[in-house]
Amino acid sequence: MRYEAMLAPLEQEPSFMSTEAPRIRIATGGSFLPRTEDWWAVLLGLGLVAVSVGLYGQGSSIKWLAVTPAKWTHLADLTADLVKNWQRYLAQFVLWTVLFGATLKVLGYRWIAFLPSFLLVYVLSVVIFCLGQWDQANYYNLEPPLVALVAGLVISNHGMLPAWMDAGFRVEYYIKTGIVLLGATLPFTLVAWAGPVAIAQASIVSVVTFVVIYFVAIRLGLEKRLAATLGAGGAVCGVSAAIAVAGAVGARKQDAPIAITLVILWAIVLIVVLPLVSSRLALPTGVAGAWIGTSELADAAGLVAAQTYGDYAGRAQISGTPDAAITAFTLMKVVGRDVWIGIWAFVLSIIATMRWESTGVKTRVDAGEIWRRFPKFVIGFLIASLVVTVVAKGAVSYAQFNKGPINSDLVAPLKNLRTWAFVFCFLSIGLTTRFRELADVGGKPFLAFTSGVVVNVLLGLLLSAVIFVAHWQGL
Amino acid sequence: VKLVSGVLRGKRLAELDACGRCRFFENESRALELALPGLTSLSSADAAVRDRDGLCARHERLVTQRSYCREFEPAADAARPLTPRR
Repeated sequence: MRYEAMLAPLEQEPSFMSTEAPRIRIATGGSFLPRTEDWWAVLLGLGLVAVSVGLYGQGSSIKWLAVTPAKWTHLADLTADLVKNWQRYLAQFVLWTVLFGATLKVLGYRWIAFLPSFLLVYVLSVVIFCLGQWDQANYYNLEPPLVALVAGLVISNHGMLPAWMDAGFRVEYYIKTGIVLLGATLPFTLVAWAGPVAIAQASIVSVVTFVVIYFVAIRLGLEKRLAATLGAGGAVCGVSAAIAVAGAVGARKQDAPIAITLVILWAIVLIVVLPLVSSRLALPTGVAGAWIGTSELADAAGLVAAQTYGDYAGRAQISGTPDAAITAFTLMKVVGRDVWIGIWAFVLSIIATMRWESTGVKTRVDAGEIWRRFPKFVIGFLIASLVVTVVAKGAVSYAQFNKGPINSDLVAPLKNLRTWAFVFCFLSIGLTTRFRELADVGGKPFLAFTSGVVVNVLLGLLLSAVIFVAHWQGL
Repeated sequence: VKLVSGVLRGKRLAELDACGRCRFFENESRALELALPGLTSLSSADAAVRDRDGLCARHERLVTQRSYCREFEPAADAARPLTPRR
Protein backbone atom coordinates (compact mmCIF):
# COMPACT_ATOMS: atom_id res chain seq x y z
CA MET A 1 0.00 0.00 0.00
CA ARG A 2 1.36 3.41 -0.90
CA TYR A 3 1.78 6.07 1.77
CA GLU A 4 -0.84 8.32 0.21
CA ALA A 5 -3.27 5.46 0.19
CA MET A 6 -2.59 4.75 3.84
CA LEU A 7 -3.36 8.33 4.75
CA ALA A 8 -6.37 8.66 2.49
CA PRO A 9 -8.93 7.64 5.13
CA LEU A 10 -7.65 10.44 7.32
CA GLU A 11 -8.73 13.05 4.83
CA GLN A 12 -12.27 11.71 5.07
CA GLU A 13 -12.45 11.96 8.84
CA PRO A 14 -14.77 14.82 9.78
CA SER A 15 -12.85 15.59 12.96
CA PHE A 16 -10.93 14.04 15.80
CA MET A 17 -14.27 13.26 17.37
CA SER A 18 -14.72 10.55 14.76
CA THR A 19 -16.02 7.28 16.15
CA GLU A 20 -13.68 5.29 13.94
CA ALA A 21 -11.07 3.16 15.68
CA PRO A 22 -8.00 5.25 16.55
CA ARG A 23 -4.91 4.72 14.47
CA ILE A 24 -1.94 3.61 16.52
CA ARG A 25 0.68 6.28 16.11
CA ILE A 26 2.89 6.12 19.18
CA ALA A 27 3.76 2.49 19.46
CA THR A 28 5.74 2.34 22.67
CA GLY A 29 3.03 2.86 25.24
CA GLY A 30 2.80 0.20 27.89
CA SER A 31 5.57 -2.07 26.66
CA PHE A 32 8.93 -2.42 28.36
CA LEU A 33 10.48 -4.08 25.32
CA PRO A 34 12.88 -2.10 23.10
CA ARG A 35 11.32 -0.59 19.99
CA THR A 36 14.48 -0.03 17.99
CA GLU A 37 16.55 -2.65 16.23
CA ASP A 38 19.67 -1.08 17.79
CA TRP A 39 18.81 -2.31 21.27
CA TRP A 40 17.68 -5.67 19.95
CA ALA A 41 21.00 -6.08 18.14
CA VAL A 42 22.78 -5.26 21.41
CA LEU A 43 20.70 -7.76 23.40
CA LEU A 44 20.97 -10.44 20.76
CA GLY A 45 24.72 -9.98 20.17
CA LEU A 46 25.61 -9.72 23.84
CA GLY A 47 23.33 -12.68 24.61
CA LEU A 48 25.31 -14.84 22.17
CA VAL A 49 28.58 -13.55 23.67
CA ALA A 50 27.34 -14.30 27.21
CA VAL A 51 26.35 -17.86 26.29
CA SER A 52 29.70 -18.37 24.55
CA VAL A 53 31.64 -17.05 27.54
CA GLY A 54 29.55 -19.17 29.92
CA LEU A 55 30.21 -22.35 27.94
CA TYR A 56 33.90 -21.45 27.61
CA GLY A 57 34.11 -21.01 31.38
CA GLN A 58 32.78 -24.54 31.84
CA GLY A 59 35.31 -25.99 29.42
CA SER A 60 32.78 -26.21 26.58
CA SER A 61 32.08 -24.09 23.49
CA ILE A 62 29.36 -22.80 21.18
CA LYS A 63 31.36 -23.96 18.17
CA TRP A 64 29.01 -26.87 17.38
CA LEU A 65 26.39 -24.26 16.44
CA ALA A 66 28.84 -21.88 14.75
CA VAL A 67 29.39 -24.21 11.82
CA THR A 68 30.73 -22.94 8.48
CA PRO A 69 31.57 -24.85 5.29
CA ALA A 70 35.12 -26.21 5.13
CA LYS A 71 37.60 -25.33 2.41
CA TRP A 72 37.07 -27.61 -0.59
CA THR A 73 38.61 -28.51 -3.93
CA HIS A 74 36.24 -31.06 -5.40
CA LEU A 75 32.45 -30.92 -5.28
CA ALA A 76 32.46 -34.33 -3.61
CA ASP A 77 34.41 -32.87 -0.65
CA LEU A 78 31.85 -30.11 -0.22
CA THR A 79 28.91 -32.49 -0.47
CA ALA A 80 30.47 -34.80 2.12
CA ASP A 81 31.05 -31.87 4.48
CA LEU A 82 27.46 -30.63 4.15
CA VAL A 83 26.00 -34.11 4.61
CA LYS A 84 28.19 -34.70 7.65
CA ASN A 85 27.14 -31.41 9.29
CA TRP A 86 23.50 -31.05 8.18
CA GLN A 87 22.20 -31.25 11.75
CA ARG A 88 24.49 -28.40 12.78
CA TYR A 89 23.27 -26.22 9.90
CA LEU A 90 19.68 -27.04 10.75
CA ALA A 91 20.25 -26.13 14.41
CA GLN A 92 21.95 -22.90 13.41
CA PHE A 93 19.08 -22.00 11.10
CA VAL A 94 16.62 -22.60 13.93
CA LEU A 95 18.73 -20.47 16.27
CA TRP A 96 18.87 -17.50 13.88
CA THR A 97 15.20 -17.89 12.97
CA VAL A 98 14.09 -17.83 16.59
CA LEU A 99 16.38 -14.94 17.58
CA PHE A 100 15.68 -12.69 14.60
CA GLY A 101 12.07 -13.80 14.14
CA ALA A 102 11.02 -13.24 17.76
CA THR A 103 12.65 -9.82 17.95
CA LEU A 104 11.31 -8.69 14.58
CA LYS A 105 7.85 -9.74 15.77
CA VAL A 106 8.19 -7.16 18.55
CA LEU A 107 9.11 -4.59 15.89
CA GLY A 108 5.89 -5.32 14.03
CA TYR A 109 6.75 -8.06 11.54
CA ARG A 110 4.70 -11.16 11.03
CA TRP A 111 6.26 -14.60 11.56
CA ILE A 112 4.48 -15.92 8.51
CA ALA A 113 6.26 -13.33 6.34
CA PHE A 114 9.62 -13.56 8.08
CA LEU A 115 9.99 -17.34 8.05
CA PRO A 116 9.99 -18.04 4.27
CA SER A 117 12.06 -14.96 3.47
CA PHE A 118 14.68 -15.79 6.10
CA LEU A 119 14.75 -19.39 4.86
CA LEU A 120 15.64 -18.00 1.43
CA VAL A 121 18.33 -15.75 2.96
CA TYR A 122 19.83 -18.66 4.90
CA VAL A 123 19.86 -21.09 1.96
CA LEU A 124 21.44 -18.48 -0.34
CA SER A 125 23.97 -17.65 2.41
CA VAL A 126 25.00 -21.31 2.64
CA VAL A 127 25.48 -21.42 -1.14
CA ILE A 128 27.54 -18.20 -1.11
CA PHE A 129 29.59 -19.35 1.88
CA CYS A 130 30.34 -22.64 0.09
CA LEU A 131 31.36 -20.76 -3.05
CA GLY A 132 33.76 -18.60 -1.03
CA GLN A 133 35.38 -21.71 0.45
CA TRP A 134 36.22 -23.13 -2.98
CA ASP A 135 39.99 -23.06 -3.48
CA GLN A 136 39.50 -21.55 -6.96
CA ALA A 137 37.18 -18.77 -5.77
CA ASN A 138 39.95 -16.17 -5.66
CA TYR A 139 41.10 -17.15 -9.14
CA TYR A 140 37.64 -16.43 -10.55
CA ASN A 141 37.18 -13.32 -8.34
CA LEU A 142 34.20 -14.89 -6.60
CA GLU A 143 34.45 -12.77 -3.46
CA PRO A 144 31.52 -13.84 -1.24
CA PRO A 145 30.43 -10.30 -0.27
CA LEU A 146 30.26 -9.22 -3.90
CA VAL A 147 28.61 -12.44 -5.00
CA ALA A 148 25.98 -11.98 -2.29
CA LEU A 149 25.34 -8.39 -3.33
CA VAL A 150 25.09 -9.17 -7.05
CA ALA A 151 22.90 -12.24 -6.48
CA GLY A 152 20.53 -10.15 -4.37
CA LEU A 153 20.43 -7.35 -6.94
CA VAL A 154 19.67 -9.75 -9.79
CA ILE A 155 16.86 -11.45 -7.86
CA SER A 156 15.21 -8.25 -6.63
CA ASN A 157 15.51 -6.29 -9.87
CA HIS A 158 13.96 -9.05 -11.94
CA GLY A 159 10.84 -8.96 -9.81
CA MET A 160 11.31 -12.53 -8.63
CA LEU A 161 10.11 -11.88 -5.09
CA PRO A 162 6.92 -10.38 -3.63
CA ALA A 163 7.25 -7.25 -1.46
CA TRP A 164 6.10 -9.01 1.73
CA MET A 165 9.32 -11.02 1.69
CA ASP A 166 11.21 -7.89 2.73
CA ALA A 167 10.33 -8.98 6.28
CA GLY A 168 13.40 -11.20 6.29
CA PHE A 169 15.74 -8.84 4.43
CA ARG A 170 16.69 -6.61 7.37
CA VAL A 171 20.04 -5.13 6.28
CA GLU A 172 20.51 -2.89 9.31
CA TYR A 173 19.46 -5.44 11.89
CA TYR A 174 21.86 -8.07 10.56
CA ILE A 175 24.78 -5.69 10.30
CA LYS A 176 24.25 -4.23 13.76
CA THR A 177 24.12 -7.73 15.25
CA GLY A 178 27.27 -8.62 13.30
CA ILE A 179 29.06 -5.52 14.55
CA VAL A 180 28.23 -6.33 18.19
CA LEU A 181 29.65 -9.83 17.58
CA LEU A 182 32.65 -8.24 15.86
CA GLY A 183 33.39 -6.44 19.12
CA ALA A 184 33.84 -9.83 20.80
CA THR A 185 36.62 -10.71 18.35
CA LEU A 186 38.69 -7.57 19.00
CA PRO A 187 40.91 -6.88 22.00
CA PHE A 188 39.56 -3.82 23.82
CA THR A 189 43.10 -2.44 24.03
CA LEU A 190 43.13 -2.29 20.23
CA VAL A 191 39.83 -0.42 20.19
CA ALA A 192 41.14 2.04 22.80
CA TRP A 193 44.41 2.53 20.90
CA ALA A 194 42.93 3.03 17.44
CA GLY A 195 39.67 4.74 18.44
CA PRO A 196 40.95 8.30 19.04
CA VAL A 197 42.75 8.45 15.67
CA ALA A 198 39.63 7.07 13.99
CA ILE A 199 37.51 9.76 15.62
CA ALA A 200 39.96 12.52 14.63
CA GLN A 201 40.26 11.35 11.03
CA ALA A 202 36.55 10.72 10.62
CA SER A 203 35.68 14.12 12.10
CA ILE A 204 37.93 15.97 9.64
CA VAL A 205 36.46 14.15 6.66
CA SER A 206 32.86 14.41 7.87
CA VAL A 207 33.01 18.17 8.43
CA VAL A 208 34.80 18.87 5.14
CA THR A 209 32.45 16.63 3.14
CA PHE A 210 29.34 18.15 4.72
CA VAL A 211 30.55 21.69 4.05
CA VAL A 212 31.37 20.87 0.41
CA ILE A 213 28.01 19.24 -0.31
CA TYR A 214 26.04 21.90 1.56
CA PHE A 215 27.67 24.91 -0.08
CA VAL A 216 27.73 23.42 -3.57
CA ALA A 217 24.03 22.62 -3.16
CA ILE A 218 23.25 26.16 -1.98
CA ARG A 219 25.34 27.57 -4.81
CA LEU A 220 23.30 25.51 -7.26
CA GLY A 221 20.12 27.00 -5.81
CA LEU A 222 18.88 24.05 -3.79
CA GLU A 223 16.82 24.58 -0.66
CA LYS A 224 18.79 24.63 2.63
CA ARG A 225 17.01 21.67 4.21
CA LEU A 226 17.64 19.51 1.15
CA ALA A 227 21.28 20.68 1.16
CA ALA A 228 21.65 19.65 4.82
CA THR A 229 20.00 16.28 4.19
CA LEU A 230 22.33 15.60 1.26
CA GLY A 231 25.33 16.76 3.29
CA ALA A 232 24.56 14.46 6.21
CA GLY A 233 23.97 11.52 3.86
CA GLY A 234 27.35 12.00 2.23
CA ALA A 235 29.34 12.97 5.31
CA VAL A 236 28.09 11.03 8.31
CA CYS A 237 26.41 7.66 7.93
CA GLY A 238 24.54 7.51 4.66
CA VAL A 239 20.83 6.80 4.61
CA SER A 240 20.55 6.78 8.40
CA ALA A 241 22.07 10.24 8.68
CA ALA A 242 19.93 11.54 5.84
CA ILE A 243 16.66 10.53 7.51
CA ALA A 244 17.84 11.69 10.94
CA VAL A 245 18.78 15.16 9.69
CA ALA A 246 15.76 15.40 7.38
CA GLY A 247 13.51 14.89 10.42
CA ALA A 248 15.51 17.20 12.67
CA VAL A 249 15.42 20.13 10.23
CA GLY A 250 11.92 19.46 8.89
CA ALA A 251 12.89 18.66 5.30
CA ARG A 252 10.29 18.17 2.59
CA LYS A 253 8.90 14.67 2.10
CA GLN A 254 10.75 14.27 -1.21
CA ASP A 255 14.15 15.41 0.15
CA ALA A 256 15.00 12.24 2.07
CA PRO A 257 14.30 9.89 -0.89
CA ILE A 258 16.59 12.04 -3.08
CA ALA A 259 19.42 11.66 -0.56
CA ILE A 260 18.63 7.94 -0.13
CA THR A 261 18.88 7.34 -3.88
CA LEU A 262 22.20 9.17 -4.13
CA VAL A 263 23.64 7.33 -1.13
CA ILE A 264 22.61 3.94 -2.55
CA LEU A 265 23.98 4.63 -6.02
CA TRP A 266 27.32 5.99 -4.81
CA ALA A 267 27.64 3.35 -2.10
CA ILE A 268 27.32 0.60 -4.71
CA VAL A 269 29.84 2.32 -6.99
CA LEU A 270 32.30 2.68 -4.10
CA ILE A 271 31.87 -0.99 -3.11
CA VAL A 272 33.55 -1.81 -6.41
CA VAL A 273 35.90 1.17 -6.76
CA LEU A 274 37.51 1.35 -3.30
CA PRO A 275 38.78 -2.27 -3.13
CA LEU A 276 39.86 -2.07 -6.78
CA VAL A 277 41.90 1.11 -6.33
CA SER A 278 43.27 -0.14 -2.99
CA SER A 279 44.54 -3.30 -4.65
CA ARG A 280 46.10 -1.31 -7.51
CA LEU A 281 47.88 0.81 -4.90
CA ALA A 282 48.76 -2.37 -2.94
CA LEU A 283 47.48 -0.81 0.26
CA PRO A 284 47.87 -2.95 3.40
CA THR A 285 44.51 -4.28 4.56
CA GLY A 286 44.40 -2.03 7.65
CA VAL A 287 45.07 1.08 5.56
CA ALA A 288 42.45 0.14 2.96
CA GLY A 289 39.95 -0.61 5.72
CA ALA A 290 40.53 2.85 7.20
CA TRP A 291 40.04 4.45 3.78
CA ILE A 292 36.85 2.49 3.16
CA GLY A 293 35.62 3.45 6.64
CA THR A 294 36.33 7.10 5.92
CA SER A 295 34.88 7.26 2.42
CA GLU A 296 32.14 4.63 2.06
CA LEU A 297 28.71 6.10 2.63
CA ALA A 298 26.94 3.43 4.65
CA ASP A 299 27.90 0.78 7.21
CA ALA A 300 26.55 -2.17 5.26
CA ALA A 301 28.07 -1.11 1.93
CA GLY A 302 31.40 -0.38 3.62
CA LEU A 303 31.50 -3.81 5.17
CA VAL A 304 30.99 -5.41 1.76
CA ALA A 305 33.99 -3.43 0.48
CA ALA A 306 36.14 -4.02 3.59
CA GLN A 307 35.47 -7.75 3.69
CA THR A 308 36.10 -8.02 -0.05
CA TYR A 309 39.46 -6.31 0.38
CA GLY A 310 40.25 -8.38 3.46
CA ASP A 311 39.90 -11.46 1.26
CA TYR A 312 42.67 -10.05 -0.95
CA ALA A 313 45.15 -10.36 1.95
CA GLY A 314 48.09 -12.54 1.06
CA ARG A 315 47.74 -11.93 -2.65
CA ALA A 316 50.66 -10.29 -4.46
CA GLN A 317 51.93 -7.24 -2.57
CA ILE A 318 48.89 -6.90 -0.30
CA SER A 319 50.04 -7.22 3.28
CA GLY A 320 48.01 -7.49 6.49
CA THR A 321 45.30 -9.80 7.72
CA PRO A 322 41.70 -10.05 6.49
CA ASP A 323 40.50 -8.96 9.92
CA ALA A 324 42.60 -5.79 9.84
CA ALA A 325 40.48 -4.44 6.97
CA ILE A 326 37.23 -5.10 8.84
CA THR A 327 38.59 -3.78 12.14
CA ALA A 328 39.95 -0.55 10.65
CA PHE A 329 36.71 -0.05 8.74
CA THR A 330 34.56 -0.59 11.82
CA LEU A 331 36.61 1.68 14.05
CA MET A 332 36.58 4.43 11.45
CA LYS A 333 32.96 4.17 10.32
CA VAL A 334 31.16 3.07 13.46
CA VAL A 335 33.26 4.58 16.24
CA GLY A 336 34.59 7.53 14.24
CA ARG A 337 31.57 8.64 12.19
CA ASP A 338 28.29 7.05 13.23
CA VAL A 339 28.37 8.13 16.88
CA TRP A 340 28.15 11.81 15.92
CA ILE A 341 24.79 11.58 14.17
CA GLY A 342 22.85 12.84 17.20
CA ILE A 343 25.09 15.90 17.49
CA TRP A 344 24.78 16.64 13.76
CA ALA A 345 21.00 16.40 14.00
CA PHE A 346 20.86 18.55 17.15
CA VAL A 347 23.13 21.30 15.80
CA LEU A 348 21.37 21.41 12.44
CA SER A 349 17.95 21.55 14.12
CA ILE A 350 19.10 24.62 16.07
CA ILE A 351 20.40 26.28 12.91
CA ALA A 352 17.21 25.40 11.00
CA THR A 353 15.02 26.83 13.77
CA MET A 354 16.98 30.03 14.32
CA ARG A 355 18.46 30.89 10.93
CA TRP A 356 16.52 29.30 8.10
CA GLU A 357 13.22 30.44 6.63
CA SER A 358 10.11 29.14 8.37
CA THR A 359 8.27 26.16 6.92
CA GLY A 360 5.14 26.54 8.99
CA VAL A 361 6.29 23.71 11.26
CA LYS A 362 8.30 24.71 14.34
CA THR A 363 10.79 22.39 15.97
CA ARG A 364 11.21 22.13 19.74
CA VAL A 365 14.98 21.91 20.01
CA ASP A 366 15.88 19.29 22.55
CA ALA A 367 19.39 18.15 23.61
CA GLY A 368 17.92 14.75 24.47
CA GLU A 369 17.88 14.18 20.73
CA ILE A 370 21.65 13.51 20.87
CA TRP A 371 21.11 10.41 22.99
CA ARG A 372 17.87 9.31 21.35
CA ARG A 373 19.51 9.24 17.93
CA PHE A 374 22.72 7.65 19.21
CA PRO A 375 23.40 4.36 17.39
CA LYS A 376 23.11 2.12 20.46
CA PHE A 377 24.68 -0.92 18.83
CA VAL A 378 28.06 0.82 19.27
CA ILE A 379 27.59 0.30 23.02
CA GLY A 380 27.12 -3.42 22.40
CA PHE A 381 30.26 -3.48 20.24
CA LEU A 382 32.33 -1.91 23.04
CA ILE A 383 30.86 -4.08 25.80
CA ALA A 384 31.45 -7.27 23.78
CA SER A 385 35.07 -6.28 23.22
CA LEU A 386 35.55 -5.49 26.90
CA VAL A 387 33.96 -8.75 28.10
CA VAL A 388 36.01 -11.05 25.87
CA THR A 389 39.21 -9.11 26.63
CA VAL A 390 38.60 -9.65 30.35
CA VAL A 391 37.90 -13.35 29.75
CA ALA A 392 41.10 -13.56 27.68
CA LYS A 393 42.92 -12.16 30.73
CA GLY A 394 43.79 -8.85 29.15
CA ALA A 395 44.97 -10.06 25.76
CA VAL A 396 46.25 -6.97 24.01
CA SER A 397 46.80 -8.09 20.42
CA TYR A 398 45.28 -10.11 17.61
CA ALA A 399 48.02 -12.68 18.08
CA GLN A 400 46.93 -13.37 21.66
CA PHE A 401 43.27 -13.47 20.60
CA ASN A 402 44.02 -15.85 17.76
CA LYS A 403 45.80 -18.71 19.50
CA GLY A 404 45.03 -21.47 21.96
CA PRO A 405 41.66 -22.38 23.46
CA ILE A 406 40.55 -18.74 23.72
CA ASN A 407 40.56 -18.68 19.92
CA SER A 408 39.28 -22.14 19.10
CA ASP A 409 36.58 -22.28 21.78
CA LEU A 410 35.47 -18.65 22.10
CA VAL A 411 36.73 -16.10 19.56
CA ALA A 412 36.63 -18.25 16.40
CA PRO A 413 33.03 -19.47 16.91
CA LEU A 414 31.88 -15.89 17.56
CA LYS A 415 33.75 -14.83 14.43
CA ASN A 416 31.87 -17.49 12.46
CA LEU A 417 28.52 -16.26 13.78
CA ARG A 418 29.55 -12.70 12.93
CA THR A 419 30.38 -13.78 9.37
CA TRP A 420 26.95 -15.39 8.99
CA ALA A 421 25.27 -12.16 10.13
CA PHE A 422 27.33 -10.19 7.61
CA VAL A 423 26.44 -12.55 4.74
CA PHE A 424 22.73 -12.18 5.63
CA CYS A 425 23.31 -8.43 5.45
CA PHE A 426 25.16 -8.46 2.13
CA LEU A 427 22.42 -10.54 0.52
CA SER A 428 19.72 -8.32 1.99
CA ILE A 429 21.29 -5.18 0.50
CA GLY A 430 20.82 -6.64 -2.96
CA LEU A 431 17.42 -8.11 -2.17
CA THR A 432 16.03 -4.75 -1.03
CA THR A 433 17.67 -2.51 -3.64
CA ARG A 434 15.11 -2.19 -6.42
CA PHE A 435 16.42 0.50 -8.73
CA ARG A 436 13.06 1.18 -10.37
CA GLU A 437 11.59 2.17 -6.98
CA LEU A 438 14.25 4.75 -6.18
CA ALA A 439 13.36 8.44 -6.43
CA ASP A 440 14.40 10.65 -9.34
CA VAL A 441 17.16 12.91 -8.07
CA GLY A 442 17.69 15.60 -10.67
CA GLY A 443 20.98 17.07 -11.89
CA LYS A 444 21.66 19.62 -9.15
CA PRO A 445 21.39 17.28 -6.15
CA PHE A 446 23.50 14.78 -8.08
CA LEU A 447 26.21 17.38 -8.74
CA ALA A 448 26.26 18.62 -5.16
CA PHE A 449 26.40 15.13 -3.69
CA THR A 450 28.99 13.91 -6.18
CA SER A 451 31.30 16.84 -5.41
CA GLY A 452 31.24 15.79 -1.76
CA VAL A 453 31.90 12.14 -2.61
CA VAL A 454 34.94 13.09 -4.71
CA VAL A 455 36.39 15.27 -1.93
CA ASN A 456 35.60 12.58 0.64
CA VAL A 457 37.34 9.83 -1.34
CA LEU A 458 40.49 11.88 -2.04
CA LEU A 459 40.75 13.27 1.49
CA GLY A 460 40.11 9.81 2.95
CA LEU A 461 42.91 8.35 0.84
CA LEU A 462 45.30 11.14 1.88
CA LEU A 463 44.56 10.69 5.58
CA SER A 464 44.55 6.87 5.55
CA ALA A 465 47.42 6.13 3.18
CA VAL A 466 49.71 9.10 3.84
CA ILE A 467 49.15 11.06 7.04
CA PHE A 468 48.03 8.23 9.38
CA VAL A 469 49.48 5.36 7.35
CA ALA A 470 51.79 4.12 10.12
CA HIS A 471 48.86 3.96 12.50
CA TRP A 472 46.61 1.91 10.23
CA GLN A 473 49.45 -0.24 8.92
CA GLY A 474 50.23 -1.29 12.48
CA LEU A 475 46.69 -2.47 13.19
CA VAL B 1 -2.75 23.66 43.41
CA LYS B 2 -3.35 24.64 39.83
CA LEU B 3 -0.02 26.43 39.71
CA VAL B 4 1.95 23.48 41.15
CA SER B 5 0.25 20.88 39.00
CA GLY B 6 0.71 23.18 36.05
CA VAL B 7 4.45 23.39 36.70
CA LEU B 8 4.72 19.66 37.25
CA ARG B 9 2.83 18.96 34.07
CA GLY B 10 4.37 21.90 32.28
CA LYS B 11 6.32 19.97 29.73
CA ARG B 12 3.37 17.80 28.84
CA LEU B 13 1.06 20.79 28.58
CA ALA B 14 3.56 22.55 26.39
CA GLU B 15 3.52 19.64 24.03
CA LEU B 16 -0.22 19.11 23.73
CA ASP B 17 0.01 20.48 20.22
CA ALA B 18 2.98 18.27 19.29
CA CYS B 19 3.02 16.65 15.88
CA GLY B 20 3.07 13.27 17.62
CA ARG B 21 -0.52 13.97 18.71
CA CYS B 22 -1.73 15.31 15.38
CA ARG B 23 -3.93 13.39 12.98
CA PHE B 24 -1.74 14.38 10.03
CA PHE B 25 1.33 12.76 11.58
CA GLU B 26 2.47 9.24 10.63
CA ASN B 27 5.54 7.63 12.19
CA GLU B 28 4.76 3.95 12.09
CA SER B 29 7.91 2.18 10.83
CA ARG B 30 6.37 0.15 8.01
CA ALA B 31 4.44 3.17 6.69
CA LEU B 32 7.63 5.23 6.62
CA GLU B 33 9.53 2.51 4.81
CA LEU B 34 6.82 2.52 2.14
CA ALA B 35 6.80 6.31 1.94
CA LEU B 36 10.59 6.68 1.67
CA PRO B 37 11.69 4.39 -1.17
CA GLY B 38 15.11 2.79 -0.68
CA LEU B 39 15.14 3.35 3.08
CA THR B 40 15.51 -0.36 3.85
CA SER B 41 18.40 -0.91 1.41
CA LEU B 42 21.06 0.61 3.65
CA SER B 43 19.10 1.61 6.75
CA SER B 44 15.75 1.08 8.42
CA ALA B 45 12.84 2.91 9.98
CA ASP B 46 13.47 0.84 13.13
CA ALA B 47 16.92 2.42 13.60
CA ALA B 48 17.54 4.52 16.70
CA VAL B 49 18.78 7.44 14.57
CA ARG B 50 15.23 8.11 13.35
CA ASP B 51 14.12 8.75 16.90
CA ARG B 52 10.31 9.05 16.53
CA ASP B 53 10.25 11.32 13.51
CA GLY B 54 7.39 10.94 11.09
CA LEU B 55 5.73 12.40 8.03
CA CYS B 56 3.31 15.30 8.22
CA ALA B 57 0.63 14.85 5.57
CA ARG B 58 -0.47 18.51 5.92
CA HIS B 59 2.94 20.09 5.28
CA GLU B 60 4.44 17.11 3.41
CA ARG B 61 7.53 17.23 5.58
CA LEU B 62 9.51 14.86 7.75
CA VAL B 63 9.20 16.25 11.27
CA THR B 64 10.02 15.28 14.84
CA GLN B 65 7.15 14.16 17.05
CA ARG B 66 7.71 17.21 19.28
CA SER B 67 7.41 19.75 16.47
CA TYR B 68 4.23 21.83 16.23
CA CYS B 69 2.29 24.12 13.89
CA ARG B 70 -0.91 26.18 13.63
CA GLU B 71 -2.73 23.55 11.60
CA PHE B 72 -2.65 21.03 14.45
CA GLU B 73 -5.66 18.76 14.63
CA PRO B 74 -5.71 16.21 17.43
CA ALA B 75 -5.62 12.56 16.52
CA ALA B 76 -8.11 10.14 18.03
CA ASP B 77 -5.42 8.91 20.41
CA ALA B 78 -4.00 12.38 21.11
CA ALA B 79 -4.35 12.02 24.86
CA ARG B 80 -1.58 9.46 24.94
CA PRO B 81 1.75 10.75 26.28
CA LEU B 82 4.68 11.26 23.94
CA THR B 83 6.77 8.36 25.14
CA PRO B 84 10.50 8.27 24.53
CA ARG B 85 11.66 5.77 21.95
CA ARG B 86 13.69 2.94 23.45
